[in-house]
Amino acid sequence: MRPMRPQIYALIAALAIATISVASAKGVTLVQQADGSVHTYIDVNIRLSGQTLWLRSADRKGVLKIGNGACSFIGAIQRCLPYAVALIQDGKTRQIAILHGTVFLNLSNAAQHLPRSSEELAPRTILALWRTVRGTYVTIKGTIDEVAP
Amino acid sequence: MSGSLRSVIALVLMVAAPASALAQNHASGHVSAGGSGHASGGTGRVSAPSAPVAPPPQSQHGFSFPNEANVRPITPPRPVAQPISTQPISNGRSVNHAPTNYVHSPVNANVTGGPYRGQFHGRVIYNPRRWRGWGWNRGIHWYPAPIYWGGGFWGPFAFGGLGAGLLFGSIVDYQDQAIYPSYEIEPTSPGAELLQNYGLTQTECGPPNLVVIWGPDNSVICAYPNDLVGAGNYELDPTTLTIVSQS
Repeated sequence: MRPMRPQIYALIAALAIATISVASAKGVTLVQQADGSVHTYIDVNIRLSGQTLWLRSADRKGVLKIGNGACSFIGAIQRCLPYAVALIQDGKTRQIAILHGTVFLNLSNAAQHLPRSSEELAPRTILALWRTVRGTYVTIKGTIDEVAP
Repeated sequence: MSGSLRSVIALVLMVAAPASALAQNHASGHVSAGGSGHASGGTGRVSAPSAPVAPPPQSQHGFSFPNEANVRPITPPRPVAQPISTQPISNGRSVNHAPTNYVHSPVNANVTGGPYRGQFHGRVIYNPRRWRGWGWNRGIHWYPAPIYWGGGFWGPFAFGGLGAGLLFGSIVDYQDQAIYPSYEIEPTSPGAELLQNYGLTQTECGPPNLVVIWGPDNSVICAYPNDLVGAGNYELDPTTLTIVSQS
């Protein structure tokens, strides 16, 4: 019987390439400008650290930092109000002034209905909507990739 | 290398190649559309936009906010209060018509009590639900979000958002020439939980002999008195959902 070790290594390497090629982040971010044009960002990495939400673009070149407060629970869904948004990109940090918005978090292991809505949030999923003072609407939905205390 | 192994690796790479190409295609993770778009939630897939897909306006990386040129948080004017005509209350504070030159209450999440701040040393009316700590919020600490009216305690009404909250009367402080607008409480807000706990029903601020509750950010709401809570001014502790009457 011929030794299989080199063949197994080759097979594992091929499987690793196949696995790495598929992006893991599943967030989708829509940015609608005041003129109606929409930019859609997919495969956005979503990280929740305390009450701060971090969104990283798929190319890892842009990060949106969203500070939340006034978090309270509606059933199992946590609802927070964003009050500070910063865009960290090209080595600079720009503040984005928001007018109003809401962040819904489902950190439970079961799907939850949003209050007064037929919309359902899957486990470990967020839905965030906010509007800037300049009239830009931002919608974020997706599975949370990482939760840190 | 055996033929069978080559076949297996070839099969794996065939599967990997489209995925790799897809990942490269999404390397920027960015799709631009001229009109309104729709994203499927949580799956990373984006449905086709209704309008024809236009090329990206410019070569860009990361996120694009072309209209948000370092806009610092500003202090937009509060919605103009429309005070309700009523009889003046003592102490020069009333809900009567306010002169147009009166200013709106200062926005400060650390200030509570409006014109009565520092005067709430009266009877503590403990929450009938006997919440301990933040039990009302599943043990999670609630703290105000500074740009929202009432810190967001009564609902997510950004103070600059005209129409975001329904104006529900106001308290006019003639002594300091300030207006404290009140808004309708959102049903699922912590403030709604407070009213439910005390069996209170919100009403427009204005008429005399109401329960007046001062919350975070100099916010104020009014309710009809009941057997548990009599008419008067109260200060709210948002962490325990407890109210204290004015001394």
